[in-house]
Amino acid sequence: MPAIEYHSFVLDNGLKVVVHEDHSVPKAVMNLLYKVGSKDEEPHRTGFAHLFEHLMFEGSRHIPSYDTPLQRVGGENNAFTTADITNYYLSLPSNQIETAFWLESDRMLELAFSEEKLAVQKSVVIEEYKQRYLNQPYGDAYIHLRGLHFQQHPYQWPTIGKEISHIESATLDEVRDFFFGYYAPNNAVLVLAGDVDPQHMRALAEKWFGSIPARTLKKHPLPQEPVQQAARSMTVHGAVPFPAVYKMYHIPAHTERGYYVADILTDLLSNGKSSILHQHMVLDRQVSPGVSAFSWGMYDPGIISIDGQVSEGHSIEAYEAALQESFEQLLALTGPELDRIKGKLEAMFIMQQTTILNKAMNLAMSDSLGDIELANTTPEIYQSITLDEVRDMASRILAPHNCSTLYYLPGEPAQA
Amino acid sequence: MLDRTLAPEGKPLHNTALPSYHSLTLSNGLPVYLLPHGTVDVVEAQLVFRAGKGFQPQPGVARYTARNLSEGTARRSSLEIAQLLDGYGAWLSNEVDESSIALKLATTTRNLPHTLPLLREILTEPSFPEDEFVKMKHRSAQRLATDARKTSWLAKRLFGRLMYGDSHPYGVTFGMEHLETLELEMLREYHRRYLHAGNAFLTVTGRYDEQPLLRLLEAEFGQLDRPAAPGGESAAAQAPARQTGRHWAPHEGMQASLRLGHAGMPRQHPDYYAMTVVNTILGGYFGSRLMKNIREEKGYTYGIYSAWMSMHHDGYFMVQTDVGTAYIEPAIAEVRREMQHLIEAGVGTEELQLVKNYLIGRSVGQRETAFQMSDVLRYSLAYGLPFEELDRRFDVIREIQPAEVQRLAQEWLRPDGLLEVVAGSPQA
Repeated sequence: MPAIEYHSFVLDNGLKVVVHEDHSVPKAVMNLLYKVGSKDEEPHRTGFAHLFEHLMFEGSRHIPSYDTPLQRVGGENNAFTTADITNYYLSLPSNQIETAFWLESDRMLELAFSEEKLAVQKSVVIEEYKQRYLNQPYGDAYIHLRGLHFQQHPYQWPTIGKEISHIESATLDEVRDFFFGYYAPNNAVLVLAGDVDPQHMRALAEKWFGSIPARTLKKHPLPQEPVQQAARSMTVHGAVPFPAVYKMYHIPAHTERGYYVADILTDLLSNGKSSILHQHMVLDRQVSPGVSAFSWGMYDPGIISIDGQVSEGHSIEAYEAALQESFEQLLALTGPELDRIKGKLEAMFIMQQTTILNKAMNLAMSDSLGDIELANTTPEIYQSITLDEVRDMASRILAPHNCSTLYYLPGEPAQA
Repeated sequence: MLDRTLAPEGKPLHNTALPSYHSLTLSNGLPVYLLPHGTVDVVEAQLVFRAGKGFQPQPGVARYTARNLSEGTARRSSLEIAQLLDGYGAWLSNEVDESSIALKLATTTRNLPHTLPLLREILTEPSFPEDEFVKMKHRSAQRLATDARKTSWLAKRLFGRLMYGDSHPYGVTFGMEHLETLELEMLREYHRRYLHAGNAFLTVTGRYDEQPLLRLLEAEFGQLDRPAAPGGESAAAQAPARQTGRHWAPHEGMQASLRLGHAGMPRQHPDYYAMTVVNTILGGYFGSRLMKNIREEKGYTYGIYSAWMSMHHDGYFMVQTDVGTAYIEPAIAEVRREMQHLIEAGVGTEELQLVKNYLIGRSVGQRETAFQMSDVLRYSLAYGLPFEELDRRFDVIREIQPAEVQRLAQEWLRPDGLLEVVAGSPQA
């Protein structure tokens, strides 16, 4: 696999800048990652990092509209917030790249805060909350389950917010504090990728970002999650057609090798038709119409989850028994089975490299994890995982005492 | 001192012309189109048939036939096919629209010689195992029952039915009543009739060496029988049976899905490209008038978009959004108001220039990867729209003036003749 080559340097104010050249199409990408996510929020003010992401598009100190000037030069943009980071990215014709510097540096300098804009974006986020989580069958399952699975660590609340009231009660002063506490050159990674020249990028980075002062960060140590000692479970009722079972398991931090082993477990369990859960639970036992295992990608010790509906005519007990049998198959994994999934993962990495944006995000995320070289070494880590490591990880993390379960059943929701 | 109020100087915008492909035929006459593209060693091959939703005895047959091809062949089980693909890092998928079915193979270039034979095998030797089909139907039934609880699915289904009528391929959403009557023999018959080399063309897009590729294509596909194509006219050519006015799909949720629209134009209409500019201004991008008004000023929704959908035989206009139940009436009123405003006041040069630049600028990113270009090529060939014709879009965008935008809005937008579908309840 060809390496992603890059230059990097740090401005005096602490901003890390990374440049990757790919001149195949006349397009440039700017990816600006801030090392702040929902884990940095206060327990009584959740959803704040994400609400803040919305406000970042409402104008900055010298520029009344963020989107309009970008669209005027043929660019487009978006952003996402996770528990660990907030990532802004835009792509535009490469000869217009300076517009990206102008826009992004001004909103790093200072936002245009106003009560009106805050009120509208609260309303937008509340509608987003309903559209994605509350008005979908099973949509709030993981909101409930996170709260059960994490008892100390802020991963216990979802990025959208634990409840709508937290979003409703956010104040402008809190917004301002949050900005100056986390949105700072010394808390960000700036990646330029595509049809760009490294010397030119350095000059533009100095010109637009160089004068933004470093800030005192509000970062505080996060409470660590104690090791779970016993299985936990809860039941919720809602307007759903069939029972469904949601399970979460604790896994190692992203910076540990064990993270990648846990991640490959989810591929073995549910990536494609040949996967263990599809073959055993869906086709052989037919206890579910579809089971998926998912690795959440958290930076601190995080989660893999397994969820599925229970097939009509089958019991939750049968579903759980079949899941346990699937885990036993995982413990009996053979070399050829592991090699197959490695072949698939290698091809996935190659295909991801076909877009400039993917490469830019990969560099930014890797750097924010503490090692930019992960952008190139991650595929090798997966290829080096051994059968013993997989079996050992499976027996450690897929154990009942490491698991929290939510049963989602058809019926009237209980009154809160 | 840096003046941050001043935007950097804008540069001229260039759209990238579509790259050229070339065509040839294998020794049995199968048309092949080759398009070198990209910087990463990956390839996508597509076998494309003149078939699909406009050519099927009942809804679901085309799609389930395509899906079941990889559920087993004369030599391999479903699991064995999946395992082979995993080991080589390749993916088989399919796309079914009104007048084409595409079987797609995405693979690393290195493994193309190992994976292309599988694409041929699922075409010529599918075994359509009963067991896999029955299980697939059970799973589909449960998925459909889940979909029926979603406002977005209810709204889409009712909108299609009222925009086109119960039997038109553009309007039908596959549902439980279709699943119940679907039989394996229909799929076998459909495969015999439509999915063969006499009714197909083949495309290969990506990075490859041409000579070894041609030998490979000839070995796998050059000797296949090419029976006469079934021909026939697409059922999508029938006239739609349209309704307008307010229609409800009941749902007791806290939000409602809205689908508002009316008739449009087919893809070949001379005003099509210009109309996509009109639609972009109204609701086709994040800075659109609908988004600015209904999301950014009113906060009624997380997002609102409009689309000017033009297919081979017909087209329609549709606005879609999810809003809190208290905002149903205000949101619909605002959509109508924005349509009326575009008709009466047109567009200024500055807003129009912005939309032009946006559309031209983003075209670069839409032609970046081999997978994107593979789909552009298929679309072009399946619908008889040459690359030059697709690129004409950018000439139209560059040249269009405000007066033309307003004329088109007046001619084509019908704020008082909307079909209004609401999946939700009038008041929570």
